[in-house]
Amino acid sequence: MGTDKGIAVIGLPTLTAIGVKSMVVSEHDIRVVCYATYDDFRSFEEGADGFVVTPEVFVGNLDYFMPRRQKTLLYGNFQGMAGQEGERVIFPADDEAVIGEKLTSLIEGIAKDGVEPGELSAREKEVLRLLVAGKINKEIADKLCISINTVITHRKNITAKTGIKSVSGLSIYALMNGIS
Amino acid sequence: MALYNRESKLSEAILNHPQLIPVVNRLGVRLGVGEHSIGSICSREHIDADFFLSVINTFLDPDYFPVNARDTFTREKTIEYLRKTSSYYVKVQIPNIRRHFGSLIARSGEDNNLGQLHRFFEETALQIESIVARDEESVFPALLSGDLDNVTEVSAESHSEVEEKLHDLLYLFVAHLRGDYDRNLATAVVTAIFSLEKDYRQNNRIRRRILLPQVRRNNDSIGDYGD
Repeated sequence: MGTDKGIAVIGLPTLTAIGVKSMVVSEHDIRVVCYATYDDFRSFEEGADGFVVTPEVFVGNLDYFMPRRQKTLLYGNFQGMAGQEGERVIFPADDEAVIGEKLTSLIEGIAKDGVEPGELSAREKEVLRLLVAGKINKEIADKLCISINTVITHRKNITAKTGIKSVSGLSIYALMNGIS
Repeated sequence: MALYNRESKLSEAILNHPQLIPVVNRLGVRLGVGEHSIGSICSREHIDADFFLSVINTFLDPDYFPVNARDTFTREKTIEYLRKTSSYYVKVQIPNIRRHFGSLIARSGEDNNLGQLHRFFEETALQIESIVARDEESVFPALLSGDLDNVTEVSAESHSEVEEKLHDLLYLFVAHLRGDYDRNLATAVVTAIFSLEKDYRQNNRIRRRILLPQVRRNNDSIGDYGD
């Protein structure tokens, strides 16, 4: 499964790195490890499934990051970058919701690579349990301490993976697959 | 672009799309149609050929919009067709699936998840029966009397919900059926649900494309002329 190794945050200022880690683990079921330098990261054998790095780290190690650019978010100030390209960059001035969406998009991209069709992640199973227990999006968000947007994203992923759209159908799916 | 027109042979249309058989039955045509064109059969049976063509083309083609529906069809005619459709669900298709599902469970032992699928089917079937009863008791009379507020939107929403459930039921059968079961009867049940799902979805399209524009046009004209 693609998210076993988690996300490596490399070269970011310490407080910023802690902020990124805190945002990711509060919303997603995925490991985050922070490294001060690229060499620190490489001294561990296990690697990572996704990356948040500074442009200096990226440019200084193009051989490593170019093949992994789809799984990498850059953190920094870039002039004139917006739209599609801007989605791969966290700007220091971005507000919390925008940063959250960019991190979620990175994690979903990683998850798509590694998860078999139909296989729900641990977080998606939690959302499904609450959904079939009759909870609405707001209640699920409060219970799991995540945003409503993240709940909606999880619900879309559950439907995409299981092929089932209605709450009644999802209840039967949960029963059949021992998710209760 | 319509799939069929007045000159098309009905026998060919039915052979190409056998799911049209219950549709043409509801419109007043029985099998044994000969080699005649749709226009000549409609004329012989005193059926409005434009209405007939709009219904079968809307039924078959998701992209087809009946351009002349605004001018030529009455709500009465559309509602009569939908009443026959509802009656077919409740009196033929659902009892047929219930019968086969009962036999499937009886002949399949207990080492499977058919019970859960059966529960879901019954929930969906009861919802269809309740919607049909509501249509008869309040929605159709309201539409006929011109008392239209909310009734059509609420009705469209519950029909879409049933569409989703039927789709899910099929998907659960196809992707998640487990254990020992009678394969022939399972095939019969899935085929019958598939037929109901398709019929239901396509008839909802007729509601949206033919009935709702008629209702809205009528509302507009009430507004325009103040009567």
